[in-house]
Amino acid sequence: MDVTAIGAGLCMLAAGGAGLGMGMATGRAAEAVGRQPEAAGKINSIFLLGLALTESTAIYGLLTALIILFVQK
Amino acid sequence: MLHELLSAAQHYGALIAGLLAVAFGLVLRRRSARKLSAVEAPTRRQKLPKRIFTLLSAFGGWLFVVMLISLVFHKEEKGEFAPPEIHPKAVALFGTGLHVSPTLLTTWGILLVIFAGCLVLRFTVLRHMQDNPKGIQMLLEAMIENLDKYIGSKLDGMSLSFGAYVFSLALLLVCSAAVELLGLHAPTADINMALGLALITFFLINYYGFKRKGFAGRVKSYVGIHTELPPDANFAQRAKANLKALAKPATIAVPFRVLSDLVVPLSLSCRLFGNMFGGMVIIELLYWALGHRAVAIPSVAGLFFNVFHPLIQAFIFVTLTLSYIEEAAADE
Repeated sequence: MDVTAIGAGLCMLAAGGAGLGMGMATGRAAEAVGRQPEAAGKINSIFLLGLALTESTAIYGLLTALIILFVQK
Repeated sequence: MLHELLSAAQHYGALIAGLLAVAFGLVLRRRSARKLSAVEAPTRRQKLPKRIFTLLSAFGGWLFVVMLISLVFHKEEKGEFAPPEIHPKAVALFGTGLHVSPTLLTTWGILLVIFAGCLVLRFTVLRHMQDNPKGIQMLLEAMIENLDKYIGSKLDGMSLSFGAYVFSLALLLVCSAAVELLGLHAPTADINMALGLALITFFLINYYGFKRKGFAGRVKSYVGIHTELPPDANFAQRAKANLKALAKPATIAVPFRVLSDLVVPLSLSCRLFGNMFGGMVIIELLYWALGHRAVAIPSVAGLFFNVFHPLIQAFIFVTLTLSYIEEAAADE
């Protein structure tokens, strides 16, 4: 039986954690801008960097899933 | 024969259905719009029919155009999904025995285009530089100024010659993402290319780390304890202080710090490659799923996956490069 698809689906659980983290970061960034609107530029750059690092978790999961699906056969 | 006939009937049926959907959608939309104008301050619910009929006519129009195109150009039906390769197979160059990776060829093409663009700019715009900039000159100056400001804000007090490296990196990343719009395999969607770029960054991080702090300073920064030494301390004093620093409890974190520095090329390359490759797979899947109806919709999706996302990734790659270099070279 071919169960590789299930493994690939399990890999994408990583996206859940990344989504949670990104949502929290966005909420905090919005809060920070609301508190200190004059620091919006600095907050924005820190926020983008953090978002990219968080997103990479999901990307690693996606990469593993794609490799399982298309390369590892 | 029967199969062909059925498929043709399907095509013409869909064509007529699209046309009918447009006609009905427009007529019904007009009727509901007239009804809506009688009501002042309509609620969302009252607006709903008009919106639905607008969507219906838009969908009908799309179906009509798609079927017309597929009738004219005889687009083939979808077959087995062929997944893209994480590193494309080498192709024989000009029928000779020389096998070259398509990634390399595409990158050469991109470099040629960039080089030609630079030459054109050199001999047109840069020849006629003015004191109050206009047009392209203004664009170029704004670009360089913003980049310098950005690098200055990241790498405080370090040389601005990073601008050249950072700008070429960003340009290469953006161009190699744009190549995908032409239907080619993007070079950065090849794991080797992504790893190569990440290794250059890794080399730069360590080069500037060692150049700025020296070997002992780098080791000390791993240990995380900064010993205060008079600037004219002799070698024995320095060695003693360093040894003392190494013996502190923070020593336990050394392997992790070393590991997290060594893993930088892997994480950088996987991030870039994963993004580009993921976007490409999604677009390919969309083309496959839509089959010969792949008109208009993939271009909208491609705007996100092939234009916006790679731009963000280029920015992220550059930002991370600068951040790592700053971290490695920062004075305590």
